[in-house]
Amino acid sequence: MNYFKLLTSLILFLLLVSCEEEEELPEAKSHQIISVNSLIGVDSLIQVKLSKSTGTSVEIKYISDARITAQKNDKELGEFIYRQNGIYELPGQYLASESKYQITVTHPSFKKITTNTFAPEKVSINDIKLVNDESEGKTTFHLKFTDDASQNNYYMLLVKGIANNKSNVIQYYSNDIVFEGNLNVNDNDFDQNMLRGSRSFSDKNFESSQVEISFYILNNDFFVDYPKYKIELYHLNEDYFNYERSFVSLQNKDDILFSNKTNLYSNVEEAFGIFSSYALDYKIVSKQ
Amino acid sequence: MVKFIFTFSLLLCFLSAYCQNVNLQQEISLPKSRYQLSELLEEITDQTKAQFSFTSELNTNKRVQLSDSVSSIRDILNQSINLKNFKIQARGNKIFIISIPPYDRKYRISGYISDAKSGEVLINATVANLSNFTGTVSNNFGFYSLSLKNKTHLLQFSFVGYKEVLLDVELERDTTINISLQPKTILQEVKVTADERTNNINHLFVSSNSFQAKNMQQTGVFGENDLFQNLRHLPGVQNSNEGLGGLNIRNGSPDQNLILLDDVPVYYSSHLMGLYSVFNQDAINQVKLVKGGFPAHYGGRVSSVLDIRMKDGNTKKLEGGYSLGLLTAKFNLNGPIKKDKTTFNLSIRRTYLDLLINGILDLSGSNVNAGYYFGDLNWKIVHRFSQRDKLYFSTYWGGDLYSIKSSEDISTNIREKVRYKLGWGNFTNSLRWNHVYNNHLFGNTTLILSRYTFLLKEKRSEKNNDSDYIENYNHEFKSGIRDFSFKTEFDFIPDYKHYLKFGLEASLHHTKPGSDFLKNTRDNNPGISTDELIKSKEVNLYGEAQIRFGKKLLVNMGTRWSSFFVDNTYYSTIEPRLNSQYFLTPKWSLTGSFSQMTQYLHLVRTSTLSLPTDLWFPVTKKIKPIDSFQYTAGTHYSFNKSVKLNIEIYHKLSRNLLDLKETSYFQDVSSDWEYMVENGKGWSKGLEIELSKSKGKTNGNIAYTLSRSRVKFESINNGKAYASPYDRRHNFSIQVNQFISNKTKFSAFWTYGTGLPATLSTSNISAISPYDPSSFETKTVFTERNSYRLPDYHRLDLSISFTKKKKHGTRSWDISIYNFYNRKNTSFMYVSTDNNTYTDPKLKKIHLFSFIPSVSYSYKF
Repeated sequence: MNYFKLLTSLILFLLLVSCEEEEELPEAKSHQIISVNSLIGVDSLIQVKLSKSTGTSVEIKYISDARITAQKNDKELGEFIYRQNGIYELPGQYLASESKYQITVTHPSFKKITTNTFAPEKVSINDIKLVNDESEGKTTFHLKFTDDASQNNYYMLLVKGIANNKSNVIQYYSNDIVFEGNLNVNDNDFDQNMLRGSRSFSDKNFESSQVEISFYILNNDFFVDYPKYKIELYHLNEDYFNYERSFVSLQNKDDILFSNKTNLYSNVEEAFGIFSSYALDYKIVSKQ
Repeated sequence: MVKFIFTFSLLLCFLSAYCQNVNLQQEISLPKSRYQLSELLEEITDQTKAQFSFTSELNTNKRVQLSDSVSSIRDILNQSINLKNFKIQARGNKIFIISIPPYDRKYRISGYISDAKSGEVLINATVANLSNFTGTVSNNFGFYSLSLKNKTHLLQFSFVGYKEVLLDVELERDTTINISLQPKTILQEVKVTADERTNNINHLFVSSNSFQAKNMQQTGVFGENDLFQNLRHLPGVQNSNEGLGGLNIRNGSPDQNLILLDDVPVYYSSHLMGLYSVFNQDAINQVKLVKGGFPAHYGGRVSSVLDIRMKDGNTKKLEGGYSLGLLTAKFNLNGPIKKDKTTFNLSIRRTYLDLLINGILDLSGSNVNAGYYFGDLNWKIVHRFSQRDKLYFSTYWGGDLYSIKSSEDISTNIREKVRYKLGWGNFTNSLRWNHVYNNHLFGNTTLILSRYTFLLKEKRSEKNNDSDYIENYNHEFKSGIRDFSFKTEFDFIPDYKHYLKFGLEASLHHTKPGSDFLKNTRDNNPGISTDELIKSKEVNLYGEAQIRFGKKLLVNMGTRWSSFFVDNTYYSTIEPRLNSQYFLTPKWSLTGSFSQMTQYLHLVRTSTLSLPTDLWFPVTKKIKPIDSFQYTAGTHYSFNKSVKLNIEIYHKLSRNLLDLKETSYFQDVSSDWEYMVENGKGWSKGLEIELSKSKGKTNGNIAYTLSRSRVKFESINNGKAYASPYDRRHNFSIQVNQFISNKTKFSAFWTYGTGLPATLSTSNISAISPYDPSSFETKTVFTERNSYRLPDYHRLDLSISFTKKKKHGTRSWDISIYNFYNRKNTSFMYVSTDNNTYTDPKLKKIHLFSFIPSVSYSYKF
């Protein structure tokens, strides 16, 4: 939605006539709640990280004494083992695509939590082309893949710059309709909506199952000259898609006073957090 | 035995033959259309064998003109005989034409009541028969109708702020009398010429207040006389945030108020994000606020009704005025186009913030041209075809516009020009036809077009050196709602004890959640054009009867049947309404009411404020209509014609209220909204006390509201009930107007309110990055809804006005101070943490309007 523009102008107006006062924060009126964090790729070890809400402190409080059990397609998989820093693992169990997983978390101080995810199938990149336009200072990519039109699909596209055997997620832009204006070139302009910067997209704007997306990076955005780029296409389930968009939306809202008081997307009832899965395909291309 | 049966049967046959009444419905054929009455009666006798019996009072020499050649006996007699003086009865084979005794004959007096100076109709003016303290009130078009027995009566026509008219009438037939009342000068003494028993004739005082716009003088921020500011000194009426956020009535949200401007619903009623109402006081004649006990002719929203009537225009002479304030300039002109036949009223208002800002930017040599303004135009034309027919056409256009224009060199030889526009506004039209069918029946038929639009435009163009600009980017976004309605309503007034109102409303709602148009030639991308229109239909039927039982009990009962069609979904509701008022003494009454209201349109909020970007959506299969059930009880005491005390309690239950789910974000409001919200229920209760003095050198009112409002949603706040966003426990205000002299008036307004609920983020969680599962960020969360309160709110406003009669009119200087003692009222608060260290979070409070002096000049001619 383009109401970001309106909010910005409203804030400008209020700045003219408002003043601000600072006070000590009143005592928190909330109880502690578990936070579940788990985004698992197909063929990856099944892991869950548990922590609890911390009040006004930012120091993470891990939970090490919870009992977590898992089911795969309604059959018991076993019990997680605690490793460290709130991380629990299901030994020897790797996420299989096209399977439903459910975990149950029990802890004497918290309500029992149950959540589940359906692991998607990998969607392969059919083709990736890179065009380096030095005069405009940008590098353009053309990506092709095949979308299964028989179901609703959600995707995420990440671009990583590779240098010295290390890769970093880097900023890219696109005027392609699949991003619904979230990745326009002028992303600092207040024409953008609350989802500006979101790298996920759904197949609702695809015109055919043979999808071609164009996106580009601006060479001046980076201090490092990346000789190679890793293009990652994530096939997400709907919970992951909602989580990514909610994550971006909260970042963009930041301190806007009048934004709705909502929390990060969660598919975990009676708790915060996300338990979801994805399937990844990637290609590495060299700068020409 | 056989003999007995035979004799009995014979007797029955004779008896039946003897007792057989003449059938007055029997149709006969008449050879002529004009008769002398005696000749006509003979013709009927010839054809039906019926015998007529009548007294000498019946003038049988009277000539009679008949409309049809074939007609029933009753129709023929009804056309020929004055039924006010005679009644017709059939017994056996005789038709009796019985004279009604003169003291039992009833005649009807009807007409319009208006202001003697301007000709403007007066709504809810009282017509009282002082001989028995019966009477009626004028309706929304100034029409009244009263039946009286045939004798001399002393009638009193009265209205607050006007000199009463006493009229001796001796009725011999139905009579039309149009009455003009002379306005009182404010300092004229109050002379009570009649008994208190005339005070409340046929007025129901259940949860409602009526005002004439000329008596509403409460100024708001920057000294602007504003309708909403005037309403906020009433009990049960509050604003959600300092200056912003619309009007909240009995703890309802702004979208739950039905705001009607000349019968047309207005969807977004605020300018400048809720700081001012969209209604220009110069264009308004009368305002009625109904907070509970809703009569059946109102429906479609669940919290309140604000019924605003625009001025028709002066019927006698051309008049008008203008005013210049710190923020706005206003102009009004009204008068007759054809004297006593056709009038017009034109009102224009515009702010000039944009002119000031642009002037400053020009002086500084900036390439940016930016501004914001709002403006209104009210236009009304009224034509009276006859005493029985009037046609009204009224239009309102109002909008807010924010714009930025800038140009810059984007390379050595290319210059780019960018234009942004952000606007929203209402456009309403109504064409109404009033017809007095007879002295009992008044009809009003209306065609309505109402439109609310939110618009965003961005255009970019480039030029090379000396060439012209060529547009290469054009983006438009539009959302809104458009209504097409037909409404017909009738007032049927059989006698002074009964007042019936019934009608039909049919509406087409066209909701546009968002249409996009994008043309971008710069990147050779294809244009995008998306448009969605949700069509829904609403049909309402209603009927209500106001009945006077004896001299003490007045009851208004009615029902509204509302139905709504959207896609393949259909909703229908029967909404019962009951209002009653019992007069313990002429000065003291008790009231009670019950009403059910249904709302089929939901407003989906894009922020916590009432913003123009909020979208109206019709109900869906998943999202049901809001229902509310409100009960009220109260007492009203009039110390005299000026000083009144009203105490009322209310209890309101609402279901299918909407709130955002705790974890919702708007991806695409137009398609996903119903999955982002959750429905729940709410309940409010309160006590309202108002003491008012409406006349004299010192007048004003004191209002206090004690209320509690809670809501409950299954998946929000762990399913526990929590304070609604409009829960203000105590609300107190006092307004005093003091006329220092004929020319000088001083006003003071002080208000106090408990702080509104607020939601603060006071807890953090660790959240996994969607781009790197090994990376985590700290995110704040809201665990409890509305568990904090803003600090208490209070402020004092002062104003003084100096008026002086000049050669051609009256000039006035108004000086006002908003928030005299500079109270820093908190409008918003939030938790702020240092972005670098993420430690030591603080509570930040935002104050808006502090001490604001203002001055305005106005001239009326």
